[in-house]
Amino acid sequence: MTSTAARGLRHVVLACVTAVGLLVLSSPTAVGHAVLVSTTPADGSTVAILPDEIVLTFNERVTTPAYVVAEAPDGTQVASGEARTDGKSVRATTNPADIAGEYRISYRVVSADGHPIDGSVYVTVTEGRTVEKTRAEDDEDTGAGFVHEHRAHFLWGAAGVIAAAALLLWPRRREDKEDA
Amino acid sequence: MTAPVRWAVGAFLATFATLYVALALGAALPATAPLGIPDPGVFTGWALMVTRVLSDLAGLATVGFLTTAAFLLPSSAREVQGLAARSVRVASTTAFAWAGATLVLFFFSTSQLFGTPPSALSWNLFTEYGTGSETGRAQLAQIVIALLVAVLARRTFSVRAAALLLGLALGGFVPQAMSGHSAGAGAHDLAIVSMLLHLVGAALWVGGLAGLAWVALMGSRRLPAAVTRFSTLAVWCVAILAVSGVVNAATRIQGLSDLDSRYALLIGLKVLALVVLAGLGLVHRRRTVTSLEQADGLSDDAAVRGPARRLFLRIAAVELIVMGMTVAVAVALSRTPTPRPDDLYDTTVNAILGGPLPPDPTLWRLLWGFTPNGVGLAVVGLCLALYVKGLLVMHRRGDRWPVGRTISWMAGLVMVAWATFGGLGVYSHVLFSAHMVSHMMLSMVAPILLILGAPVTLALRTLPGPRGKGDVSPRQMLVSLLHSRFVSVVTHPLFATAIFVGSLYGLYFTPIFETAMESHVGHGLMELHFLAAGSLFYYVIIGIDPSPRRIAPLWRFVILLVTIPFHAFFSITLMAMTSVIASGYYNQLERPYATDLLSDQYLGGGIAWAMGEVPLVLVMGALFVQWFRSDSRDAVRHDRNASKNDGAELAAYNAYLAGLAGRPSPQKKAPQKPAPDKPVPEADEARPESSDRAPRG
Repeated sequence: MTSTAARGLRHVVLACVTAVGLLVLSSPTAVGHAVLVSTTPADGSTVAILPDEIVLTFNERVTTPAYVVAEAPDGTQVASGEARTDGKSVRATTNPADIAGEYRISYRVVSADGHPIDGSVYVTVTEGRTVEKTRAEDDEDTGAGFVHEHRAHFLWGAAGVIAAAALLLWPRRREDKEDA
Repeated sequence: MTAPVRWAVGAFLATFATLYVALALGAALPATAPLGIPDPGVFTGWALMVTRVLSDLAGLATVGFLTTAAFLLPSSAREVQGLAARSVRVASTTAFAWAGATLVLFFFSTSQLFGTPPSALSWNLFTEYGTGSETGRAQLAQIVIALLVAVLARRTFSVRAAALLLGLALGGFVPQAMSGHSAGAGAHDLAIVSMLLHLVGAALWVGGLAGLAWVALMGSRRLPAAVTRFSTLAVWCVAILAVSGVVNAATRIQGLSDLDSRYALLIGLKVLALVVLAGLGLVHRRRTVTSLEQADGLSDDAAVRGPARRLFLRIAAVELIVMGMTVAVAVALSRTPTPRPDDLYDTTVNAILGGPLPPDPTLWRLLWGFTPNGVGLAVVGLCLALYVKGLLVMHRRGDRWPVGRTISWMAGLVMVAWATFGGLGVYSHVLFSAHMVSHMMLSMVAPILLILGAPVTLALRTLPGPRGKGDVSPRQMLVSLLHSRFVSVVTHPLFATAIFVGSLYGLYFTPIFETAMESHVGHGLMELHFLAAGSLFYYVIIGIDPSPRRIAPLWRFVILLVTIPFHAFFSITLMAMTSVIASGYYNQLERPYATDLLSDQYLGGGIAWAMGEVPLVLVMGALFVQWFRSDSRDAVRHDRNASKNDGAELAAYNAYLAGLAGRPSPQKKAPQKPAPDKPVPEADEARPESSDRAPRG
């Protein structure tokens, strides 16, 4: 019995050593989510025409798969698909569209720690033909207030919690009565 | 519906309802990607969150059942028996679940990273995620560790192995802590260390409580003893959770303006949960623990099915459900974008240092600077708290502890603080010379003071002892560790000296130093290594604490004499070098001061030489004093004994022998002390003398 125990202990020690090795191997060199620092053209800016190349610069190295999509107000995609990464920046080539209005540039990159980062920036183009805005917008920032925005979420969440509480408490009453 | 099913369904509903609300509040609900960007689908998003929660809960349960087996359940032998053995088996099952859930998590993480729906995943994508991405590697490491725990728990027989396995399971949380998100702000290592402590504290607390609830459900008589011990552990866990949680949040939330962010909202929820849970824990301490202890004296049936046990189970169940909900909030928090820091570090130097380059070193800045160094803060904080706790236990018991030891320990901690997160720590990342001072402080000066504080003796005197005959208590675990083959190898003078001297050569004359400097984790590990190697060396050399090897003062003296030239040779080699160590790293910094890297290195070598010799000489003086004292102490004791009782030592020894033989001793009523060199075994175990060898466990 003692010898089995001793063998077990040796295996555990061996496993601990393996684990330390694994941890050293898997330890990250620079942890952190990348944060978008600047874009060309800048977010919220107004330009005459969209430049040939859109550049998004992050605070740290980003890796593939990286995607950049630029959409005109009517939903026409002037840049789409995989973008090139170059250290901290991501570059995407645009096709000329000759449409004026607010463009949405959406991106999705992978930061150095392996987490995908996504978001959108908006640029207004002044030259070109005017089109009706038909692009599907994100329903963020509706300005309707925190409670209004989360009404449905709170309702569902509360329903779940109430159901859980009912499950836990209701039969308890009966047990207590039986005890009495 | 039977009660366990009802509770399980209720707990799951509560947990996932919380997950839903927390994700909504954190604006992290799975959403469809904009057109043109590959979308893994909402299913992947949800599956990812749910598996994350399940994986975390399984990991917590694994840690909990191992804690229960190794520390909470009183065991009557070195081998785990009865309920403890079953607890280890349950831990094996939960560890399999942990590995499985993490594997599924790996699957869905791949799907999310490449924006591929689960049905379209290929083997190539898995290999790319598992090797190319840090999150992927971390998840794989976690799977392997969980599997190791699961397999080894099937064949664990000794309490010692169960305790080691617990350490391994806690190690399974390390990859998660390191790959969690710490945003563009600085203080990476502080974020990692505080997250790691947070996870360990949570695992021991939540898991331990789950284990206790299981013990209560099993109707074991051992519940009261287990609850009493857990109660102490839980207080430590709550303190660690609170401190590490606040520190971790502080690394992400920069100022008051961030407090109305969604991230801060979720942190508020976690603070609320901690307060509620601590309150429930207090109820346990005040009410259930006492009533359980009272019920313990009653008949078997009353102890197993009594109202005290029912009360305990109810509060524990509520606590566990709140804990599950808190884990759900934590998972949502890990997906919630952190507030964007004002001072986004985007240059190379900032990325390397995790903050701006410190200004020119002045004496004032070197003395009073501060840098949030996670390893340093954790080591100093924990060592301070544990030592003070030990002192409190001694004081409450009415025992005396030399003031000199306390002062020495505190002074040692001040040294560690200065070298890691103080002014010296600020520049130890930037200047080779400052790094060398920091290294010498951590491996040469602080350990002498810390060891003179006699931490092992204090631990042996204050750790909880056995609760019953043959119980394996934390104190006995320490004793058996001190007697293990591992410690006797490690404390061999040759080994300790080789580590102490060898790490100088092995580190600075190989590329390891540059690699370690470039990563925050590496730098932290280096600091830990300096402190550990120095402490080991002086533990052996100074010998104030019990250790398996007693070395005669003359030999300690010889070891020191042998060490000094090795150290001096290292320093001189460093000074004579014409190439710059880790030049790649130091060149990257482009610091405006001390621009001549080679002369800074020369200065570092000189400092190493000067600083390395001084403490060695100091220790030599201390050894002389010890030698002189131990000689004269022995002589004084001998003389005193002989003169006081007029040769009674021999008589007492004869009486002791007579007692052993079972004969009634003629001097039984006389107030005789046993011979000083034959102490009573129990007394020795309860209060090992600092000058004695560690007691046999």
